[in-house]
Amino acid sequence: MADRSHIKGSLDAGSGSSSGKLTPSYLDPDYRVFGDGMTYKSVTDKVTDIVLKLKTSKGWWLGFGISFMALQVLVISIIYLLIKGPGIWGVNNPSMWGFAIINFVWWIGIGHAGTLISAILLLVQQDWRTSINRFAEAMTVFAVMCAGLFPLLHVGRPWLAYWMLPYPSTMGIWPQFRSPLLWDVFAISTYLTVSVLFWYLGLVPDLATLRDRAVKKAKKVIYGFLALGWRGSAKHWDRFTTAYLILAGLSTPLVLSVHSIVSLDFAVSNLPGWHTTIFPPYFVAGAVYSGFAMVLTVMIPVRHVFGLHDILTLRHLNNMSKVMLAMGLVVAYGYAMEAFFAFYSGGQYEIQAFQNRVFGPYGWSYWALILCNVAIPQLLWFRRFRVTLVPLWMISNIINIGMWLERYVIVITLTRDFMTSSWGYYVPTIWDWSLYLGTFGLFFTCTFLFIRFLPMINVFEMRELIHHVKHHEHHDKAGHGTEVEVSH
Amino acid sequence: MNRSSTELRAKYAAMSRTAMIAGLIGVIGLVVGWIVEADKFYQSYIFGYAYWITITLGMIGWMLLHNMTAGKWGFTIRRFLQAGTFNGGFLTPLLLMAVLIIPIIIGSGELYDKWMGAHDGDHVLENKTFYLNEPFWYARMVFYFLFWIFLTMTLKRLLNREERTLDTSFSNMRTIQRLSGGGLVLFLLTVNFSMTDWMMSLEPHWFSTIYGVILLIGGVISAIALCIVMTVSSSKYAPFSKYLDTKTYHDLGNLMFALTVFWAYVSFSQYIIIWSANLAEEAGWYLKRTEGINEYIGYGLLVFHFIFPFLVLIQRKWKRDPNRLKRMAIYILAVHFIDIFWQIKPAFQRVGEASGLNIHWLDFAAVLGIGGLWLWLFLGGLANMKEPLLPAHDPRMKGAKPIADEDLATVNA
Amino acid sequence: MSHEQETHRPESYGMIAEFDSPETLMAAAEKTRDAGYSRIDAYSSFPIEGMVEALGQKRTGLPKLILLFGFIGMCTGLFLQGWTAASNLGITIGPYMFYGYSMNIGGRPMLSFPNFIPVTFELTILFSALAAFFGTFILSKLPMPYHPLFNSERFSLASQDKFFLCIEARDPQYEKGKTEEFLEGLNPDSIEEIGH
Repeated sequence: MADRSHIKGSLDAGSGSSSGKLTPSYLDPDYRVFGDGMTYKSVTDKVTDIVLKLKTSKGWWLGFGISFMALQVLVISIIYLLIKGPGIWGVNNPSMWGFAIINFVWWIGIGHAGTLISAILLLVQQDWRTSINRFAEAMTVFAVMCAGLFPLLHVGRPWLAYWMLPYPSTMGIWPQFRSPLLWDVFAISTYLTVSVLFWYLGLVPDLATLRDRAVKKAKKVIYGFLALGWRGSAKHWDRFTTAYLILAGLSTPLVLSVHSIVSLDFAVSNLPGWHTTIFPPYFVAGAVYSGFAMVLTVMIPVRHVFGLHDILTLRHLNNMSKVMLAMGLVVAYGYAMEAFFAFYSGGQYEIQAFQNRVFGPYGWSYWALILCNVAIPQLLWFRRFRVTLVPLWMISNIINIGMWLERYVIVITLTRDFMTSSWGYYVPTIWDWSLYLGTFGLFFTCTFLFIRFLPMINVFEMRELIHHVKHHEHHDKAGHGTEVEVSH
Repeated sequence: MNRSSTELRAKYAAMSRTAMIAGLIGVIGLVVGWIVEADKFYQSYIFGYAYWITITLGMIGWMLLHNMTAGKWGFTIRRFLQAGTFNGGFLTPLLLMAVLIIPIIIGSGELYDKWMGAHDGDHVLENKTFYLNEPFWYARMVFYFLFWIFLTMTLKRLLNREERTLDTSFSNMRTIQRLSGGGLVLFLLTVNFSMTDWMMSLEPHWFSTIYGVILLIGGVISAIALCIVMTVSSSKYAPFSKYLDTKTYHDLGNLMFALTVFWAYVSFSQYIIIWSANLAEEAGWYLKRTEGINEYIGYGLLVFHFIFPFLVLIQRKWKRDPNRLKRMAIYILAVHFIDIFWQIKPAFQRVGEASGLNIHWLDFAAVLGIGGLWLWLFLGGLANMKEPLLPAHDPRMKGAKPIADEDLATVNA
Repeated sequence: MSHEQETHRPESYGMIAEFDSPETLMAAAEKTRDAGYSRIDAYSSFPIEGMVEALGQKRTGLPKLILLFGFIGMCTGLFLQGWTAASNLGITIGPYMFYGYSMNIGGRPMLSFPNFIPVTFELTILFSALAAFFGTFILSKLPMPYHPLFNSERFSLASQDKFFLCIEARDPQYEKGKTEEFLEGLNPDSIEEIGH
C-alpha cells in the first residue's frame, strides 16, 4: 500500500551528513538503521530468542522484583484511599486539583511518544522508527493505564465512575457534554482502545512467528492462541497493511486531540494562567517531549542489557534527540508566550497570576522547570550529547522531571485565585507520593513482562526494511551505471 | 515536450513583466484611493500587506525547516523560496515588503488610533504601554526586517558556498543546520511579535497567545501553494523536467494537506477556548466576526479553508497529478485571501454594527498592487538568478538523483 | 476413517512451493497466474508490495468499510449529544422510554456545537478504528485455530524467512501430477503436497 520508492530519500534525509562526507548515509556506520549483515533470519532469531530461548537474566528478575514491589505500594495506596477517601491526599480548598491531575497529565504525555513514533513516523515514512515502534506502543498502553487511574480515583467514589458514561439511567439525567472533563472521558477511553488495537494488530504477525518458532508445547499453544491463526497470506497482508496505515492515520489526529482535550480541562476554565489559547498545541508538544524522554530513559538501558546495538543504532538515538530538542523549543516558545501575553493582556489578574508563578511561594518550581526543560536540553544541539549514552540518558531524565514540574506549576496556580482571603498552600502528603510511586510500579512491571514475553522489536517490519534496503542497494548500483553513461 | 532552462527563464521574465504591469495598475488604484478615501485606503492597505507578508514569512519558514530536514521536495522549491525572500540583489520581495511598510507607518495614527492616541483612562491600555508605545513599535519593526534580511542573506550565502564547493572534504552543512534551527526559534518569536504589532494591536484590548501562529500557518500554506504553482508551471522545462517525479508532488501535496489540517486545529483551539470562556475582553473579537455577513464568511472558512481541501487533498490522485495539485494550490491562495480578510477587516467594524460586508474596491487594489510588485521581483529574480534553478550541487541532493543538463553546464563552465 | 466418507472433497488441500526471496516468489506468482490458476495464494513473513495484483486478485475493500463506520460514529456522537443535551425528546426502545434532558450550562446555547465537536470527533475515530481492527480479521476469516497448511513442517518457515506459493486443490486446473510439474518449472527450493 505504501509507496516505498522513497526508501532512499528517507534514509538519506535526516542524516544531514554532518561529517561533511558524501558517503550515502546507509553506509555510514553511525547512520544505519541496522547493523552489518542482518538477514531475515538473523533479525528474526535475534528478537525472538529474547522471548523464547534466552534464560531469564538476574537483571530482569531484579528489575521486575523492584517494580513488582512498587506495584504493591500502588495496591496499598489504593486500598487505603478507598477506605479513607481522598482526604488522605493534600488536596483541599482552594487547590482541589493536586497530584492526581499532575500525574494524570504527565502519564498521558508519556504515552503520546508511542503513538507519535508508531503512527506519525509511519505516515511520514521514516523507516528508522521500525525498531523502536513496538516498544513505544507498549509504553503508550502502559502509560495510559497509569494515567487513567488518577482521574478515576480522584472522583472520590471510583465505583460510581460509570456515571460519567452516557447510559439511560433511572436518574433521568445525562453526562454534561459541555464540560471538558467529560471530553476527557471519551478522549482517554478512545485513546486507550485505539492504542491497544494498533499495538495488538502489529503484534499478530510476530506472534505467529513466535508460534512457529516455539519449541515448548505451552508456549506454542499460548502464542498460537494469540496469533489468531495468522498465516501471512497475500490477502491477509493486504488487509493488514491497509488497516495498519489507516489506524496510523487515525491515531495521528487522535493523539493531537487527546492532549488538546487534556489542555482544554485547563484552558476552557476562566482562570488566569490557565485560560490561554496556546495551550492545546503547547500541551501536545510537551507531551511528545516527555514521551520521547521516557522512551530514551527506558530504551537506553534495555539496549545495553540485551545487546541490541545492531537494531537500536546511534541513528535512532540521534534522531530521537533531535525530535526532543525541537519539541523542547516549541515548549520554550509556549513559556515565552505565556509570559509575554500575561503582561500584554493588561489585566491585573493575568499579571498577578504570572508574578505568583514566577516569584510567588512556588517560584522555585518555575525556575526548576525552566532549568530542566529549557536550559539543560539545549545541550542536545551538540551531536556529542545526542549519541553518548550516559549524558543522553541523564538529559532524558531531567526532561522527565521538567515536564512533571510543568504540570505542577500549572496546577498549583489554583492556590492563589481572585480573592486574597481564600489563598492557600498545597502540600502533597505521603499518600500522594506513594500513589505516584506506585504507578511507576505498574508501568515498569508491565514493561518488564512485555520485554520477557513479547517481541519488543517489530520483527516483520525489520524484515521488510531489510528487504527494501537490499532492493535499494541493488537499484543504486544500477543508478550509478547510468550516471557513468551520462558523463561519457 | 522537454524545453531548455533558457526558455524557462524567458518565461519567468515574461511573467515578471506581466506582474509588473498588474502591480502598477494596482498601485495607481491605491494612489487614487489614497487621495479619495484616505481612511479606507489604510484599512485596505494593511489587509493587502498582511496577505503578502504572511506568504513572505511562510517562505522563510519553509527555508529554515528544509535546511534541517532535507527532503527531496525542498530542493525542488529552494530557488522559489530564495527568490521569494532574499535572492542576492536589492530587488527582492523581502526588501520590497520592508519598503512597503512605509504607508502603514504613515497611516499608523489612523490604524492604531485606539492605543496610539489618548487612552482616556482606559486602565487596560495603560497597562499595555510598556509594549504598545510608538517608539518601541518603530524600533521593533526595524529589528524584524533587519533580522529577517540578515537571516535569509546569511543562509543564501552559506548555501551558495555549499553548492559551489565541489571539494567534498569541506562542508558547512552543520553551520547551516545550526543557524536554521536557532533561526527558526527566533523567527517564530519575531513572527509572533510582528503579527501582534501589525494585526492584533488593531484591536488593542484583545489578545490571544496562539494568534501569531494561526496567521503564520495561513502564510505557510500559501507559501507552499505558491511554490507548487511555480513547480508545476516549470515542470516541462529543464532542469525540473528531469528531476521531478510523482513522489515529489505527493510530498508537496501532503505538506499542504497536513498544514490545512493544522490550520483548522489551531483556529478551532482558539475559537473553542474563547467561545467557552465567553470573557468580555476576548469574546468581542469573535463577536465582530460572527455577526451579520461576517458569520457566513466564518462558516465559509470552515468549509472552504478546511473541509473542502481536506476532502480533496486526502485523495492520492489529487496529490500525485501535477495539474490537479496546481489547481488546488491556486485554490488555497484564493482562500488565504478570504482568511486574511476575515481576520483583518472586521477589526475596523464595531460590535453591533458589523452586519455589513466591510469590503472595498481598494482591498483588491491593495492585494493586486503589492502582489504585482512582489511577483515582479520574485519572477524577475528567478529569471536573472545566477545559480542553476535546482541546487544540484547541494551534497545532500546529489545523493538523491544525478542531474546533468545544459543549465548546470553553463554555470559551471 | 473419515477419508472414506469425504468423497466429494479433494484429497489434499493443495501444493506449496518454497522460495527464498520475495522477488522469486513474486515472479512465480505472476507465472502461476498467467498459467491460468486462480485458487492460489502467496505466504510471506512480511507484506510484499504488489503481491495481490501478482496473484490476480483484487485489493481489499476495507477502506470503504472503515469510512462507513467512521460516518456512523460521527452521527452517533452528534445525535447522542444533540438528543441528551439539547432536547427533551422521548425515544421508545422496546418497553422503555428514554428522555433527553436539556440543561442550560453557563448560558450557552442548547446546541453548543463548538462544545460538541470533541466527543463527536472521538467517536468518529473510535468507530473507524474498531472497524479497521475487526474488519481485518473478520474479512480474513480469522481467528482460525486450525488450517491444513499448519500440517506442513516447512510451512512454519513462512512466518520467518521463507516464501511460499500455494496452488489449492479446489482450483479447477488442479491436477496432482501436472501441477507438480508446473511448480517444478518455477525452480522452487522444495515442493510439498498438503493434506487436510
